[in-house]
Amino acid sequence: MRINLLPVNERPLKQSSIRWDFLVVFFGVVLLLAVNLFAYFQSIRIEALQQDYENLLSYKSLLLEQQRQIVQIQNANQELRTRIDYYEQILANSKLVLPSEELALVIASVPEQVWLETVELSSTSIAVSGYAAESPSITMFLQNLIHHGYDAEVDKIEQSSIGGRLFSFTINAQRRD
Amino acid sequence: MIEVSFFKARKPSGKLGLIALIYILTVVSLFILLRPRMLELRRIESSILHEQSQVQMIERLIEQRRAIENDAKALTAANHAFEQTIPQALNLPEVLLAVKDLAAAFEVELMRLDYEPLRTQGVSSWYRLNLEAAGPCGSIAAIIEILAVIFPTSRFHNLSMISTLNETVYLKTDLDLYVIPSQWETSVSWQRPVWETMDPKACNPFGIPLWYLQELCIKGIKLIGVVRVRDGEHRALVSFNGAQEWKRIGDPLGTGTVADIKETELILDVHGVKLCIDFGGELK
Repeated sequence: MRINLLPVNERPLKQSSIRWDFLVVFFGVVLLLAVNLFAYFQSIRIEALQQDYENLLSYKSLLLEQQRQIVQIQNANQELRTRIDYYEQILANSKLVLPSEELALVIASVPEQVWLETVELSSTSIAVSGYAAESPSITMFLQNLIHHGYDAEVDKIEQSSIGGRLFSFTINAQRRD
Repeated sequence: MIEVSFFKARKPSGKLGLIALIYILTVVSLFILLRPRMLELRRIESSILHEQSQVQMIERLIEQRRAIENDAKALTAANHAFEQTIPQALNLPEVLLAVKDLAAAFEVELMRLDYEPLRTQGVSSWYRLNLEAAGPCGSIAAIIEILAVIFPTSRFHNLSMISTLNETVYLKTDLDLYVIPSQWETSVSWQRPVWETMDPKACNPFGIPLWYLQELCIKGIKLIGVVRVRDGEHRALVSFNGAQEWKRIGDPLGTGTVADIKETELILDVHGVKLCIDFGGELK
């Protein structure tokens, strides 16, 4: 029979037991290695991503050159649109103010035996004065103007002093919208 | 049995020191090596994402390049068409020359053609042309129509036409000619049209002014006598502006023509207006 007389804390450990300080150190070393290893892999990944990033930047710079050209074209298109808008606007406005067809329509409305003395066209109205051999001709002139799209009315009609044979008149007309 | 001699050491301070060193190194590695790399990695990833989104946007734009270029072609063509029809501000001398040429082509007397300095409002730029001309009604009407065609951006203002004594028409109008602003460069320029002699329109609804007819009939012409000659034709003795003259049918008299002579009256045709003049100048 063997009796262990050593104090408890100086006795050798059992074969199955592990010292707590060994575990702490072991865990610490593993942790240290893991952290460094992870940091190393991160470095590798950073290098790879950095390379990707640089490739992306060079690709982007290629695209930017194309984009710059496209933006130039777009700017030119915008300027052209501005100009075309201006051209279209002044073309449209010139038709609105006083179309030259107005005069042609007035002339075309004059029947036989009616003679014009003055035709005045403004942007809003037309004033016509003249004389006719018979008063029905003036009515026909008026009807022709109305037929051509005018609101027309006789402003003045009177027999002239030439033996009562001629009727002088003044007609005001406005284009119907 | 796991047993290392170091751990058999009796001195716990050595063990604790070793443990502390290991963990301090771990923490130091964590903050000095790992964390900056993780932050750097995150930064690069976010930069890549940012760049990728930009690249995608640019790629989408580049995909539209063909359509944008087609737009540019269409717009350029439309712009050229406008620039060929609308004069530039600098083209004013040629514009004035074109109007003069046009009047000459229709044999119309150009009495006045001047312009006011270039006016601008915003982008709009225009000249006001003052135009006065006299000529046959058909020619004047044709000129107005042609001016509107060759200057499609022109606006007539206060156009007036007045009949004159010699069966012509006096035209007076202001014309606002909108032009391409001088600061706009153009790739093509407006070309001054060239005309040969032009045919006027066959129309003349304008008559001799009524006041002149009144003057003519009341004061100017007096029928003094009518005789019948051998073949039955009548001759009329007419006093015109103090001079007496025998007239037959078809003879000119003043601005008119003798249309008919009856036993007691003379019928004068003044541009389509039939005036009957009795003996002594009385009118029917």
